[in-house]
Amino acid sequence: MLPIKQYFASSIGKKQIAAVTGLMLSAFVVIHLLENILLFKGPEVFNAWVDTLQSTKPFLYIIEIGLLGVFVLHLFTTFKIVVENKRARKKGYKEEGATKILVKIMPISGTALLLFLIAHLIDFRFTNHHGPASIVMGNDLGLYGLVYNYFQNIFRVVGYCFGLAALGCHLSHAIQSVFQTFGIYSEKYNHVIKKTSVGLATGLMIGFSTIAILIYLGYAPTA
Amino acid sequence: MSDKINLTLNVWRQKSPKSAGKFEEYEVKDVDVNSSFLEMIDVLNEDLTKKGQDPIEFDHDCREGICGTCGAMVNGRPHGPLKNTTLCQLHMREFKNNETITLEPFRSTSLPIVKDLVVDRSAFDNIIKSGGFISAKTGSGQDANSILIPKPDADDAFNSAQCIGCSACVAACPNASAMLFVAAKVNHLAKLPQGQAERKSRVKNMVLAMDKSGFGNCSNAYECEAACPKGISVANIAAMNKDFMKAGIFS
Ligand code: HEM
Ligand code: SF4
Ligand code: FES
Repeated sequence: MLPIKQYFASSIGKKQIAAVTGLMLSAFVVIHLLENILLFKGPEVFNAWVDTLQSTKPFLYIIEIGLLGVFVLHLFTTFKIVVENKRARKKGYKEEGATKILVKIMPISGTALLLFLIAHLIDFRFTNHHGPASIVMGNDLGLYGLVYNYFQNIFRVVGYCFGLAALGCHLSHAIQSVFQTFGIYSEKYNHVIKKTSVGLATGLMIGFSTIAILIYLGYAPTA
Repeated sequence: MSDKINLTLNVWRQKSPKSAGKFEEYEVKDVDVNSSFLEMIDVLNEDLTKKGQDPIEFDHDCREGICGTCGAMVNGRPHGPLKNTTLCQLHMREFKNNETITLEPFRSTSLPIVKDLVVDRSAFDNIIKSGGFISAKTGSGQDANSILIPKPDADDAFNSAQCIGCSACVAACPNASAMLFVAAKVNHLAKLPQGQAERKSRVKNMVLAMDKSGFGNCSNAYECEAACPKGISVANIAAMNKDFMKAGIFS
């Protein structure tokens, strides 16, 4: 045993915090995609699901605060990791090695994600779910209407897709990395882990983006 | 039939640990393609000495790829372009006529530059001192079969034991992490019955010593594995991660 503080201050301990928190966030993102697919069932089904969630208050708040806590922990830990990594080589090489680009840009894709998520929360979590922004053809369609109207603007659709590209880049490396961090390595299954990681990341990226694009193209029902 | 090539060397020259250092260009003529990389520098150094200039300082000892003393970045790759090959075992036939070769020291805060291409690897020694050994009184050699070791374990231990401590893994890592080196040392003993008594304290102490030296964290980029002249696998890192968790949390 090591004192818990010392364990999680160690390089491997920090990595494990980044991995566990990252994995929890990934699980949330998967659930979130499934929720978004409900958009194509129309406003009634989607809003009914939203109401079901709202009805669990204050339990919902506990989940939200927990998620925020996990997110902040991920951010602090990865920030510390990156600062230490920079410090470990102050002067770089003239001729750079060929580090895989997705690994190299983890801090950049992460920061892009952070900015995207802040904008995303302002747009959907902290905008009133009823009112002028929710009105579609004269009807107040609640959160469904808010989402529907939001994606009628091509610039927002493009911005959203960029955010998801950041997610795709981040998770392509991140998910396979979690396995290594927890000591799961096998010559036999590594290619499966790698493909799952890239596949899941690409799937999430394409899934979310496609929903936004389909709404823009008018494939989401308005009643 | 010894072919000759001409090269331009772009070499990092740094007088002392504290001085700034800069690249200097050298034209090297009529390099025998069958000479080793270090022999090529030897010839250049003799020239420089005759001209009254400071020769290029570089580390070396065995010159047969087994001691881990040599090493430099050759065109951005530790030990040069050839896989599973130390710098001393690299030969000039790997290079083209009129090629420009950039030579830099391994760079990391924890292994500071002493002079030119020479780095101070004391941080590695400190990690070994923290636990990379077995502190049993072994007496005289036992009968070979008195401790049975399954062949796969013996092979694994041997593969890890091949690490020569050259620090190319640190040099190649975008984070200057020493995980591959430490993992090789931890695993070498963790795989053998003789290493079990101190297995837990060893992994804890060596990881903490590594952190204390200021090496970066592992981002699982696997550049270390690609650069290692002994083909040490990142499977060692996974195994050490697991061992550290077991020793740090579950015991
Ligand atoms: C939905 C949001 C996010 C998810 C799902 C996520 C997921 C992950 C996962 C699974 C890892 C792998 C941990 C490992 O290497 O074992 C990871 C690593 C990382 N994350 Fe995130 N992350 C998210 C947001 C962010 C944000 C906002 C940042 C930064 C501002 C960030 C920065 C990083 C960095 C730098 C690493 C690499 C750490 C290393 O060097 O190993 N992440 N992330
Ligand atoms: S793991 Fe390979 S690259 Fe690293 S010190 Fe050992 S032999 Fe050198
Ligand atoms: S000089 Fe010994 S390994 Fe190169």
